[in-house]
Amino acid sequence: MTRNTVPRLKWTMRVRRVVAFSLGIATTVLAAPRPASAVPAFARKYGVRCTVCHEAWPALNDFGRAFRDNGYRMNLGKDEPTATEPAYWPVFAAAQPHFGFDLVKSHGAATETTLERNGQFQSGVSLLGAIGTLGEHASYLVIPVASVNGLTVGFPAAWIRFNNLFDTSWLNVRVGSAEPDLPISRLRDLDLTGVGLGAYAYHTPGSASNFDMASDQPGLEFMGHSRGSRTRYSVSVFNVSGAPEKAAAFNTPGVYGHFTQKVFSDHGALTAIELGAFGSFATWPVGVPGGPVASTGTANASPGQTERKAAVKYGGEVHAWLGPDALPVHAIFTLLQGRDDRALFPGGVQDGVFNGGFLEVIANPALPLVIFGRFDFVRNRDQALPGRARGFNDQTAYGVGVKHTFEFTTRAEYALVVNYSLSQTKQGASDGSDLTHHSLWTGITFAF
Amino acid sequence: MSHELIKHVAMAWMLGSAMCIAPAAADERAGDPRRGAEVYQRYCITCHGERGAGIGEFAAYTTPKPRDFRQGTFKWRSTASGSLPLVSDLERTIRDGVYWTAMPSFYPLREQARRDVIAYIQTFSARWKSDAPGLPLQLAPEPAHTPESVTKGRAVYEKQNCAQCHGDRGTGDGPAAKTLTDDWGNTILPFDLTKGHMKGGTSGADLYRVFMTGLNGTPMPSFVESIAPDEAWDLVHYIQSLSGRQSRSTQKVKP
Repeated sequence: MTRNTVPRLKWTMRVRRVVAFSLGIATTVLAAPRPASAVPAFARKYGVRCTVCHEAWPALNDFGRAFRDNGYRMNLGKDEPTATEPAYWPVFAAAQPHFGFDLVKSHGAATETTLERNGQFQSGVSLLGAIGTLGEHASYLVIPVASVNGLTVGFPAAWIRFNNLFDTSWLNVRVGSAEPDLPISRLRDLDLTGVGLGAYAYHTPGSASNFDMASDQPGLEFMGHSRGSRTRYSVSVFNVSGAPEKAAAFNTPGVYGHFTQKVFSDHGALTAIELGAFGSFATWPVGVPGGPVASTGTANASPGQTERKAAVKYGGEVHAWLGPDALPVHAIFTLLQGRDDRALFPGGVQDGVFNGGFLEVIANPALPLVIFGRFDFVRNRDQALPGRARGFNDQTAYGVGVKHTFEFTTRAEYALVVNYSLSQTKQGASDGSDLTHHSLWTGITFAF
Repeated sequence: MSHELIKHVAMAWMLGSAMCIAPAAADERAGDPRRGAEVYQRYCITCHGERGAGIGEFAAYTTPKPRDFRQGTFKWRSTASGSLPLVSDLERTIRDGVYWTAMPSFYPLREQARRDVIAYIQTFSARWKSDAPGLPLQLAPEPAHTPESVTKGRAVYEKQNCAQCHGDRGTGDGPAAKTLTDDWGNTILPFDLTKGHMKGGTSGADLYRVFMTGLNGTPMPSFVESIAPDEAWDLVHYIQSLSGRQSRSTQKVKP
């Protein structure tokens, strides 16, 4: 490929930079690791360090997942606020000072244009929150203060969870805004470049729906699990986060479900397998008078009439754990399909359909050291808008990283992370050429 | 021929799947101390310490103190007083945790991981090389939980002078309560039997085992020489009545 930087008008370059920078910020805000990723408040309360609950902080291991599924309780008589020292305060804080470098290029037939070359020191995600138990049967999370690179953001993270209703672990109800139970939690993603897990949020180009499966969704979650959380289910009913309001009394309803089953093995290097299935049905208003998104979107809605059309996603996952129990290699393969109703597309002639997924591997050769990598893909199958090539906006992403934790105690932890990702978007540039985005994240994450 | 091939492939697949998924018999599996060291580093070290001395960074902030593995002294056993526990005893403690203490339930871990860490814990004390675990206590069948049994149990409680430590009403405030220490010199309080949930398990069998084998390293002795099996069950029923609990032999702790 020949490198040929094409001279352009100054204002055009500025606009592009602003757009690219805004996209970068938006991506960071939407995709950056967020609250509840690691909670030293629990470490202080129960006298454990992060390795007890985290396969590789912030990704949970079996113990941590069971702890979370139990409403962040050990269930051994020491969970309630009155069981802790009066001085104990269930507050935690985390931050990610780092150097970030982004290089965005478009690749025309004979040209390669640099759209963004941006490197700077940033404060990353900083947050202050509280999490714990209100009593024997109630847990909570509140994140009142959070920012991304110094910009205060409105994380709507607050919920209360009623545990073990009717004295069974098979019925727990969470009320509030929380991330649905995903194959890989975005909140607990090891990758800090903000690239990857794109299939969660993806919609075929032109869709009015902005539903992101991995965003906090305000509503109810019904969740249940067996002892040790080897069998689990989660059903969330919510208002789709970010949807235009004014649509109906129960605005833009959505539902998400997830079921997983884990089986241990005692032979060979394979120590456990988990299979899961998940799906979401998320509506989005069309024809909303004055609606911020839908008004630009729905060609098929009658004037002045409000309808809700659905974006559906469904898929399956396989987890495999290999090697030592305490230092495993964890591989996760997730495949999903998404289908947006054609009414969500202005001028749409058919439903928009895509296939997507990811393969992630987390290796833990030593307790302080984590190596991770992920391959992500999105492939459009049916474009809703006429004249679009089938592969328009197909996405591929690769990410690798190393995390070395310098110290983990029952009070705090801090780690060095070096993380690189490359994402490619077919015909993603404004001139219709392919787009590549290199992203480097190197810095410290700490929590206390 | 092709049918034969398909049949053999199918059988091999089924056999392979069964081998992969089905756990081997528990007693046949030995722990690997090398793997156990990794498990210990991940889960146990903040309380039990690097060398198993029970002086990890959190030990100072918790009561009772974490077990010092160097003496080979363990509270929760099915074996005779003073003897080493069975691997299954240690496995039960790790699996279910110890209620009212900082020892959590590690049920979510694979059973082999628990066996591995037990093998590693056994490297901290030379006793595991010189002594063999004691024979497990044989539990008599549990009789019906009746008011008569509870009344008889109260008589056993008085006869064995349990109130000296646990108090007349079982609330852990007997005359000797404030004078007790464990083998490591730490102050130890008698258990409040009215709390409902016992430390060593929720079932009647768990309770039976405690006073028939004692709690090594603590002032709680074994009563196996002085209490007959039927009296032991009466005492179980009486203690359960103090908290309003019925016999729940099959109930398990949920982690």
